[in-house]
Amino acid sequence: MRAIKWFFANFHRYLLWLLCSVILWGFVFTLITDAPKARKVVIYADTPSLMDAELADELGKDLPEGIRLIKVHPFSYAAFDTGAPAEADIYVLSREQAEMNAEFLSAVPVKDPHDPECEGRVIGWLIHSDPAGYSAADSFFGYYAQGETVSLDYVVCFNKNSVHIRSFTGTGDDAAVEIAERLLLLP
Amino acid sequence: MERKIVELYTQSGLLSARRRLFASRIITLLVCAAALGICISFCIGVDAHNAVRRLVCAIAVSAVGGWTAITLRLLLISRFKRTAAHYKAVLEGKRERIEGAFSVSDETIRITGGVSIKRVRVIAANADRELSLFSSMRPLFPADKAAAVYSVYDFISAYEVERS
Repeated sequence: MRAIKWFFANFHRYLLWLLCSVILWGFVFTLITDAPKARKVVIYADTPSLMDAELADELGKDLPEGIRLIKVHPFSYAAFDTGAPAEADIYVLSREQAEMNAEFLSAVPVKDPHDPECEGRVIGWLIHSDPAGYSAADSFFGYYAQGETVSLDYVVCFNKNSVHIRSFTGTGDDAAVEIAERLLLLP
Repeated sequence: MERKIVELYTQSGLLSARRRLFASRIITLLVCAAALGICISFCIGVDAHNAVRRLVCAIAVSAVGGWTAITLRLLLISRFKRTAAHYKAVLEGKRERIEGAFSVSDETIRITGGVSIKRVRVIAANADRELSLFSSMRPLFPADKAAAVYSVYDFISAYEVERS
């Protein structure tokens, strides 16, 4: 009885230490596994579901030259750091979202006549469209919301400030473009 | 009849309390160092594929190591620290001689942040009073045989017995 009383009197210390451990080692591991912006490609996806770890693994099998890390996150990942998606290189967005945020996206060359346009420029490549009967990377992106049989159109877009879209901006490297093209070929 | 004084608190007792305190601190330090070493080893060679598994392992080792250290700190270090401080205070304090008959209570009183004590009732010729006895000293203090005691801050530090 005395031991139980003692334990509950000191329980907060144990709980506090567990919390400290999680925060401390989470921070340390993030620091260790992270790579500088120039050596990583970050993908943010706004699909109903996402196999982020599996997709990062798949894309990480053949990294573009100079790239050390590929990170894939759902937008919900940025709940505590709303500025984080602004640092991403590639976005997988619904057509509506892409058109709403066109000012932040890089113009890209046309790949498909269904690619979304905004103010006369193409802002992304179609990755999934029910009307067009086209879908890529189904095994990693869940385009359909639970219980739904119809989905929105999804497009692959590029952050206009990315340093990995040389083909479009003329500076940096082409790692993000390379990865986006591989995304469109994934089963 | 001649009496002899039996000391309950000695310099060697203080030294032994300090040794125990030092040893418990070293053990706690080793536990912390071992946990930290293991956690650092998990950080070596970490990559995107094994990061999550290693992070979970590091958190588990860190938590268990920390909990062990907290337990050692609460159960051993603080106890030995209090004991050593108590010994030092009694050894350095001013002694008062009290004659009378003594009876020790069975109940142990735990003073928060202090040592655990037993109350000693003194039936003296002038006035009855109560003293304290460090509970670890209970087996060393034969209340029925003591003819007088020496107290420091109301703690019994020595007693007199008839030399047989």
